[in-house]
Amino acid sequence: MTSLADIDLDGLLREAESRLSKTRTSQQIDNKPPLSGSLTSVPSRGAAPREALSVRQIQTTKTPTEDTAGKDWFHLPKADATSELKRDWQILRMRNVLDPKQQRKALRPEIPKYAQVGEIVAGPTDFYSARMTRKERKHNLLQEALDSRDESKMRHKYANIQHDKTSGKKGSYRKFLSQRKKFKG
Amino acid sequence: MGRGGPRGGARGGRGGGAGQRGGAKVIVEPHRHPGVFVVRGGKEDGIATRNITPGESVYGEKRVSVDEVQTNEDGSQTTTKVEYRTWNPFRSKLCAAIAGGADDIYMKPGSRVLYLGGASGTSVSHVADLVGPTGFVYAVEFSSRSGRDLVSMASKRTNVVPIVEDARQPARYRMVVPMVDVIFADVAQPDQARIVAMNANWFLKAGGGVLISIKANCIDSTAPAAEVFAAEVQKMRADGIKPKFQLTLEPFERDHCLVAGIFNRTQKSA
Repeated sequence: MTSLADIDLDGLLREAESRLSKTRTSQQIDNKPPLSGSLTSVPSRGAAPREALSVRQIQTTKTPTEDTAGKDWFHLPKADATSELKRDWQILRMRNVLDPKQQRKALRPEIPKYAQVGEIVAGPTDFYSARMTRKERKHNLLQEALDSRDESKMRHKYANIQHDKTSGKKGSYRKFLSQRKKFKG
Repeated sequence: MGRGGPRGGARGGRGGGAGQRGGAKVIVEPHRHPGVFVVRGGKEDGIATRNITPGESVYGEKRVSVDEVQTNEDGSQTTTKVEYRTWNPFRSKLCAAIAGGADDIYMKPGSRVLYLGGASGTSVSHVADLVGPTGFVYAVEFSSRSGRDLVSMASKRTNVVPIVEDARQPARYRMVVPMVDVIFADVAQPDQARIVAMNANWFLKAGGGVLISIKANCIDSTAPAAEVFAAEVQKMRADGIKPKFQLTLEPFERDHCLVAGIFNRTQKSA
């Protein structure tokens, strides 16, 4: 039984092949006339018309990782280095001077690569002391610092710095001379 | 547990990150750990997580609102509001560990975290923020009273699965919890190490991270804290968790420490 079936199958397959090859040749004739006169030649697989194959080019898309901090930080965007942000960062770096009672970590001199400027939203249950009044609210950290600075303290600090910086220079030498003259006279 | 009793640092005292007043400007930048942000400005720097339910705070914590402006293809601009919630290290052991300089918290956006001892869900909400919409937090809490708060918090966050069940019987919630990347335990029970080991065996992937917050008083109130911690670390090691680092939560919690380790299933069988 099995052998008979095999024979039948082989026969069928052969028939199908011959039929296919006939149709293919006829199509070829229809499409383009062969240059040579041999019409009976059955085209083999290797001689089948080939399309120009090429390696698929990967399209270069703008990678989102470049201008964001990546998916680990929910695509925090790159900080746009405006002069406002730079000044805010400078003020933030100087906060140990502005409020020396609180000790904080020293910050790096350059602004962070990825950053956003936000505003604190107080909770609905917070008391009045936990939120700023409308007049106290400012557009950036610099203005906030200017508004809440301690004037006399800053003057003292400035004077101290000036004293240290100018010691040993022209002004201080003149002062020193004038003091000497005073003692002589 | 010490939760709910003293009001952390939310009002007055040393509220980490909560010192800023509403309306103050701050700068948000990424923290060393994925999913965590640093809020700079005001009295002191704070830690924050990106709120996945903008416009709502869970336990009255302060939020940071940021207007994110995006330029469209046609040149017009769209403004979206992004929100961060400040994370108080006095109220969360995990935040205290991050503030204290933990080497690795093993979790990042997209992670699945099994949180044992979820309590009212204050810390859980921050972990849910941290893992983001692609991650999952399975919060186990036995007390039905705290569990209520946990469930109401989870109702607003799609990535939190509240489980009001005993963590000693992980078989009871085995149908809910899949394989997880990290186990965070804050159960404060004498048999804490055993509870964690059991849950790790059930749910933690090989090489997954384990973070255990240990309160010395809850394990043994008579022995010195350092001895208790050492004994707990030994127990962890016996259960196939390789300890990686241990740090005290000192300025934020007294006689607490956080032990982190890597779970390795093969070590257990050997």
